[in-house]
Amino acid sequence: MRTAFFTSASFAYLDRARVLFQTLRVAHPDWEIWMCMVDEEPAGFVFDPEADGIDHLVWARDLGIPNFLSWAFQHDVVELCTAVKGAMLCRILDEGIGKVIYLDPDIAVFSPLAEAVDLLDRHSIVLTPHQIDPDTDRAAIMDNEIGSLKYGIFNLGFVAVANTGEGRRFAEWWRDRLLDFCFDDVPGGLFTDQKWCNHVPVFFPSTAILRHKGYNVASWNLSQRKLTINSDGDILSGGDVLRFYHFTKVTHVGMIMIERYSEGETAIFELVKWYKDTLRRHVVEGLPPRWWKYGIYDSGQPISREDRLAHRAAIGAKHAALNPFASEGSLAPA
Amino acid sequence: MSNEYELCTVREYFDKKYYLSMYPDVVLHEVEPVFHYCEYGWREGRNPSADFDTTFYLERYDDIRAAGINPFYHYIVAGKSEGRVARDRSGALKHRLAHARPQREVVKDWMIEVIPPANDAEEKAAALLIEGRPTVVSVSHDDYRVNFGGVQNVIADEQGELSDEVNYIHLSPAQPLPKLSDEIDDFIFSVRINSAEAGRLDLDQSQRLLSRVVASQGAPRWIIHHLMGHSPEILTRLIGSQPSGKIFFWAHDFFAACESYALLRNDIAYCAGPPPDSMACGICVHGRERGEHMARIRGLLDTLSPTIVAPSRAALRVWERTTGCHFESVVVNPGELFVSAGEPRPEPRLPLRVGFIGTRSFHKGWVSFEDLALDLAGDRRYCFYAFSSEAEGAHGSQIEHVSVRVTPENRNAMVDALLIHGIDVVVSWSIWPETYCFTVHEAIAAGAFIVARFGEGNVGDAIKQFASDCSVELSCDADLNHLFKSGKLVTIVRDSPRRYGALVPSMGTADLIDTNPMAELSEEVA
Repeated sequence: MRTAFFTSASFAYLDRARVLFQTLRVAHPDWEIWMCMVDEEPAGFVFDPEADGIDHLVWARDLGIPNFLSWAFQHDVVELCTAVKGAMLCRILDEGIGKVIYLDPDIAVFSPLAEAVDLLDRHSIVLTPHQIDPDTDRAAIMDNEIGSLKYGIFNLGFVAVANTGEGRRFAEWWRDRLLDFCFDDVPGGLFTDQKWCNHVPVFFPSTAILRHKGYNVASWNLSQRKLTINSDGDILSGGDVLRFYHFTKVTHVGMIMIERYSEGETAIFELVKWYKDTLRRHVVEGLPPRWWKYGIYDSGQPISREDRLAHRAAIGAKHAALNPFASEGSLAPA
Repeated sequence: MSNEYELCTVREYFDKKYYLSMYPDVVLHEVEPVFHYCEYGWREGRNPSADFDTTFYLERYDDIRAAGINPFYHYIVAGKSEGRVARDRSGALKHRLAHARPQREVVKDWMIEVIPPANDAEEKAAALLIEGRPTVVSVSHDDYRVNFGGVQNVIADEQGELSDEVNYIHLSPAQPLPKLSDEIDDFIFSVRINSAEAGRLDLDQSQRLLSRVVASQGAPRWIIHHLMGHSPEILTRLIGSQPSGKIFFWAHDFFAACESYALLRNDIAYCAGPPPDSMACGICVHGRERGEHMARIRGLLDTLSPTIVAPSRAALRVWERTTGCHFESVVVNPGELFVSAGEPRPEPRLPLRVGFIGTRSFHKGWVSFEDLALDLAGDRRYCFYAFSSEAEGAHGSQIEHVSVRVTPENRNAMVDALLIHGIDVVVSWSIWPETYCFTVHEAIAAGAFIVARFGEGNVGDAIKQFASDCSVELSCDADLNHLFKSGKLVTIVRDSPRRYGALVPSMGTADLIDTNPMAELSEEVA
């Protein structure tokens, strides 16, 4: 049975995706690597998917999303890179592939994801919660548990789906919701593709919740999963062997959060150093600074949040431009 | 411009001694150091004392940086009561981690101009050989007469012990490196014969010199002290080019298991030498090189089948486990052997005098000791001392620096210094398993109570053997701090039967050579 893995990203995240591909290839040399590129090549820049180890590249514009440019325009980069995930999942399942695993590009895989693959023999969907164990410290509760109430119980940096009837129903439901409502609008009850999945265990009963502490380790669950390295050289997360780490926000702010929960262990800092060093070795040469094709008008002018919201409202009112990128600039009312 | 009130406030907490020792250039400004700090120092990222980190404070607290005020002044008048943190307890560790690099990247800092050997270099070297003596060829990473350290001491002692009996040829790489050399075709050795400089020889010249030795004096005995900077392939070829006597291979450290010879993962944590394809090696700056590094040294060991010489049983244990090699082995003491026979020490009085011995390096545990001293500043139960070479200099007011130089002529200098200063407790806190720890033996000989980090090296064995009732082993910095802060240390030191002792020198590999006379060796080969 074929197993596929996919991610979605813009060129600015290609360095991260390269690290993901490389580490995944070591853990699962037999998996097909699929990527949805949510971007366009800038002039003079040539993307060579094969050199990056990508078996199947799908451009977001080729996913068959109606009025793609108009649809894309309403999203910022995080929103758009997540909004394509459902459609991409459907595309891969349509190929007849038996098991499909999605990972965010800022993840690195450290050992085979055997538990997730095994669960797909008995379940159609596998999700990993942000937290598995309740926190007790008030600051940790505010950081983590309340964070999950705002942004979603499950972290959609990972999802695994079997090509079953229910797996396909989930993929199509998720695709449809994301095409209409994949926005970072926490006060409005939405957080991109992620918060939708609070519904998943209810709507799709064969969903498995993966509780292995080596999956999706990140700043939001470090308080309950001490990272250690034993004398055999295994990296452990809360006692389980680390499967993959989600390197969200390894910037200054993220590091303060990580530091808060490191409890004097060095492993997390070593892991972050390894990731940053590895990223430097995979830098995307020749990409203009801050490049994202769908973040600028054809004129080169940046698209503001106000412009996106104005266009979103125009779509709702059914009078939106088919190619807003071609307009002269600000769409927002003065 | 700092105002008078700010200056007065800061002056009370400012550590002038620390400031001048860390920033000797301040003297040139001919202003009061505290004024220098308030006016310029904090803007230049200098620290007013060992327990306030200016850069950390400004990076951590954006509001203070944005306000452009003296961060130390802010900490004193407001930050401390607001619960702000004065320094990053793991700052030294993070700094070290941030700068950890594979040795391949460090090499460029080591490059020197190596002048090729002269055509008559071999003749000149041969002239230093004394007729009629058997030969010992020793190999190590640098010139033992120029550089100072544990391995160099062992070689110097060994050469000294054998100086009346053998021709002692020493080979080091003319281009020292922090890793194995990539050379596989040719190599330039820096040579000493009977302790005199014998210039540089390339591989051909070295082989011809050896063939002369073999022809006139029989096969040489080899002692490989260290392979750093060498090419195992070249060395294997050189040794194999002529008949050789017994070959010894020293486990002074764990370089045979990893280019990080102390087995420090990312230069900050002891890794215990897991398999090279382990997850830990995967995230270590030294991990990518490890498989090839081990294979190259393994090639030399398998070809030469040397006798492994370890400076302690603990060293041999760890060496065999981490290299996966099991050859004929022997354990010797490289330097002093402790003999316990002294008088009891009188009961200690407060404050307990707590010492740290040796180089203030991270892997020796200096950072933990310094943190401990800073945390206990003002605690009248303890005072802290650091015993090291003069070059290390003073280090703030919390730790008194005592300059000590141990020389071949005065091997007891450290023990004497500990006694003169009445040191009650020595913190032996190396994060790696030292193969032979001179300092813990010196501390035991001085009758000090030992507070050691639990580990699998020689320290644990030494205290079990010589100071089982005058020592405590702990596993982490938190336990160390608790032992001091709780006052438990004072009680257990008072109750411990500490005794003065003595150190007796040993002769390293020379001991082995004495027990296997060279004549016998020459006969074996003949």
